[in-house]
Amino acid sequence: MKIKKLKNYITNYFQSSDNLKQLAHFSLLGFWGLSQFFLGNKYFVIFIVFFLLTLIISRPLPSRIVTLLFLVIVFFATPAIDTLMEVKQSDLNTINDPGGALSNILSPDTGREVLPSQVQQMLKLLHRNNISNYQLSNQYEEGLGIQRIIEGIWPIKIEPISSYFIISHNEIDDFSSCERIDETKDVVLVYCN
Amino acid sequence: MWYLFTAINTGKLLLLISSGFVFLLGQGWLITGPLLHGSLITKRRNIQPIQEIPLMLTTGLIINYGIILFFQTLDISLIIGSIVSISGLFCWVVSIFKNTPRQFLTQALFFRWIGISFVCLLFLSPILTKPLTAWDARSIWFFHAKMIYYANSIGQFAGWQHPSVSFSHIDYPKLVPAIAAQVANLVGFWNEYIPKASLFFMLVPATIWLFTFARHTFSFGILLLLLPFSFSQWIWNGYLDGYFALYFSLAMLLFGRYIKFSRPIDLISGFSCLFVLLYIKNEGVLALFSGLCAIILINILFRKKIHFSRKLILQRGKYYLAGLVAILPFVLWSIYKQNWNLSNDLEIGIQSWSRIVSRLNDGSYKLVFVMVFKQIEASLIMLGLIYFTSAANKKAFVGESLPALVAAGIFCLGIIIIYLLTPHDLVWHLETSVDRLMLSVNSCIYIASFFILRSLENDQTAYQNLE
Repeated sequence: MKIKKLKNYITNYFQSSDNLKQLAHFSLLGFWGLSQFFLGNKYFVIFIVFFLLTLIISRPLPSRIVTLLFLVIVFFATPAIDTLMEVKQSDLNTINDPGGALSNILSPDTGREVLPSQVQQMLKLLHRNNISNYQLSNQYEEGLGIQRIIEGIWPIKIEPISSYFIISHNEIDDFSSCERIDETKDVVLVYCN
Repeated sequence: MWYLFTAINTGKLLLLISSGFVFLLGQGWLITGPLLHGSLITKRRNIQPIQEIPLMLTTGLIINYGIILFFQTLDISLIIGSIVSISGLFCWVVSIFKNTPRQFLTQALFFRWIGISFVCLLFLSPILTKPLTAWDARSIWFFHAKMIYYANSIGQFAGWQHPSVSFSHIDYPKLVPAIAAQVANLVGFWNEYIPKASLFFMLVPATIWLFTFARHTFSFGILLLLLPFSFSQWIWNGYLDGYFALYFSLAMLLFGRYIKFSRPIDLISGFSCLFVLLYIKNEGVLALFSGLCAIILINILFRKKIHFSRKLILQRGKYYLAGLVAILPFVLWSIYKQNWNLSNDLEIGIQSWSRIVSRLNDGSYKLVFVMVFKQIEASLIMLGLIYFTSAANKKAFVGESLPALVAAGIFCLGIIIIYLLTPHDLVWHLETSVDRLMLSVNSCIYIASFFILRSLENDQTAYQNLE
């Protein structure tokens, strides 16, 4: 008798297109969880299995569960919370010292301390000696650091015809025929005819 | 004395920012007014300021950029821009006095403006008080701004052809650098902080648009967390990828609402967001293409609803004019690029095919797919789960989510093709950019999820009729 009932239930279940659709969705969800397992995303697998079970037990899914699901993803898989923390910290810093923040914003040439120390020294040398163009020694021309030099020192430009060279202290011998104009801790400005 | 100094500086900053917005509003009204109301001085439709103002600001950004590109000199473009802006402002004020909106400031609208101010002020500090340290911000976007500022020109004199700046992707669009240079020009000096005010001018219209979707619902809270807040430092570090993703996803949000209510302002606002993308990054062309494909698909699927827009496009010259104004800066910059031989580092052309074929043959395409998938995995999980919930609750497919999904798919495919044809080292190119570029795809998937979640909330009044 029980087997007959079960058989009837299964037959009725598969005759309903709605149920078939649901079954297809559940299978797809299970397949998705499985693929995530093989991709090595254990966190997502746990999440999908939890979701699948909730969906099977409780249909229609209560809006609170949906809310919880979304919150979990937003909290763990996006940087939204970190952003909120960072924004909060920045706002608190500004509130604590509005004068300093405003002074930075509304004064010329502020913020140059973000440049690498050597670029700051180069800038100082070029400004102190009123130089309008320059060349870099091989040591400074190589690598990505040249981008910081070019943009940091702009509008003073690198020109291949310039007689002013920015070199490091250990390159002095290579520029022995040039006149030493000025220097800082790491950088030397020379004039080569 | 300290208090006085701080108060004066606060006043200066407020004056600078508010005059910037007034400047953009005035310019924007000259296009927005005729576009929405068919007149500069008469408001024929009762459209809420919360929907009109971001459109005016965005249009103002494009017009201002067009004026800078056309006149090239910063000083002259500022004078011309001010004249244009004052005339626009005059007409706008007349239109407001002639026809005060019926619901200018209801309680709901008041709270929306409070929300907008709160979110914008939250981001103002990180934008303005953190100096420019990020690599692309210094080497590309704000370096271009510095070049424009010191030359007092966006033209050839800025130094685009100088051999030393070839690393700086000189061909990139100049909307944000131009505004940054304008800001520096107004205050009269350059530093590593104040040019970043240009980012704030980009953030405000986007935030206002976001709040046109505001409701006392969970879905709106999630939307707010996902859109500006999940972009993290991309909002304030001087990279433009966050703003690109923000405007791209906003376009999809607005197109989604257009499907539901067929209100022209949503379609126009969506297009204005897409046009702004052209001037933020080179990927804007791909985003515009993706957006247009999404619209064409909607046209096919929702034929009845789009009937209005067809009539709108075919019968009214003003839309052609607005389109022309929107596309003109792109054309101008393309002409300049050609005349000044500013080429793109991707070297897109016939030779690209051989690179694509070679990457398909050597299996490096797998790396592209894996890295791209890793970036969008979490948002796909979100979309998948919300879709299955919707299906389990026997909800019909949510049509509003379609533009976002179509645009995200096409944009993602386009980016994959760009990685396949890149002349750079593939691993380096992927590692340095895939997270930023996929922000746009992620945010479009978030938008699709938002629409499905909203339909699950079963809130029939989810959209307040704003018109």
